[in-house]
Amino acid sequence: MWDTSLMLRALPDLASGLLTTLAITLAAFVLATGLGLVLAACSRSTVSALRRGAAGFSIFARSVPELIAIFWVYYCFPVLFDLRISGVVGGTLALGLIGAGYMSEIIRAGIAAVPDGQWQAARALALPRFILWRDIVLPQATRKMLPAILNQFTDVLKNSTLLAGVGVAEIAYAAYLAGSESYRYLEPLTGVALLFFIVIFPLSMIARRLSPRDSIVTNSL
Amino acid sequence: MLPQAFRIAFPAIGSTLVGMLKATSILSILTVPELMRTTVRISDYTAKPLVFYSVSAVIYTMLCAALALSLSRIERRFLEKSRA
Repeated sequence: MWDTSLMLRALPDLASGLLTTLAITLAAFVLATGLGLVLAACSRSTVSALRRGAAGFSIFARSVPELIAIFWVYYCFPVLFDLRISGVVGGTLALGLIGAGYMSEIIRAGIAAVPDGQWQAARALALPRFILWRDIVLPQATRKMLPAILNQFTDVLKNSTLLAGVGVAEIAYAAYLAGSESYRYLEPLTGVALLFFIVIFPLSMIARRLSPRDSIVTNSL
Repeated sequence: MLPQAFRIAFPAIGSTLVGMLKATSILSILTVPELMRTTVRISDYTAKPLVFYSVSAVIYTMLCAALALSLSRIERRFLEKSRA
């Protein structure tokens, strides 16, 4: 049944696919973070149209399945904007847009989690807005956001396999190719699962260690 | 034990459920004839991807929004009960 040599033969292809996967993930994550920051800023704006727009986008982005978004960008952007985009660009864009919805919520929640007293103290000291954000709010908020941001990163990493659907030669696509060459999908697909575990397990351990709830639990043991 | 644990776990269970609803679209790759697969088929057949992908995105959004809304209603009822 199981043939380890087949998996070993597929491994170099899978590894180069993994590099593409990581590159896509990183690009989508950077896009998501940047856009998420803008959305979070809009959601705190005094202009109600900006607030509503940001909230609407965030709800929409978080409820559309990733696969639909990838296909939508890939097939509809050429029609809408009259430009040709590759699967990599379209897929990364789609993952980035969806990720932005999640990131904006994470950032919003992180800022909201900074205790009221901190804001009041800063206001009592008449600190300039820039100092308030750079030295007081953002450092505390970032610490609270980190576990959620890491989880979001692993989500993007896992969802990037969907780009195989628009013909991007990432890790899942490499596994399909290796499988269709030998008519044996068991070994390459298991290889993908193992590689993902190797990458994601340490990330989730870090996220767990960073999460404050868990540190209380470990202290009490 | 279980009623209390369930009440605490409920929001997480709810978001997993919404995630599951979104994940069903992935089954289209295995040619399960669900919404996504049907969308791809019709869009290929009619060569009008813009219309059909947009429509199915809206359908998914409405499904997820309806689910999330009812979940948060149930959640609120739990809270009221635990307060009483």
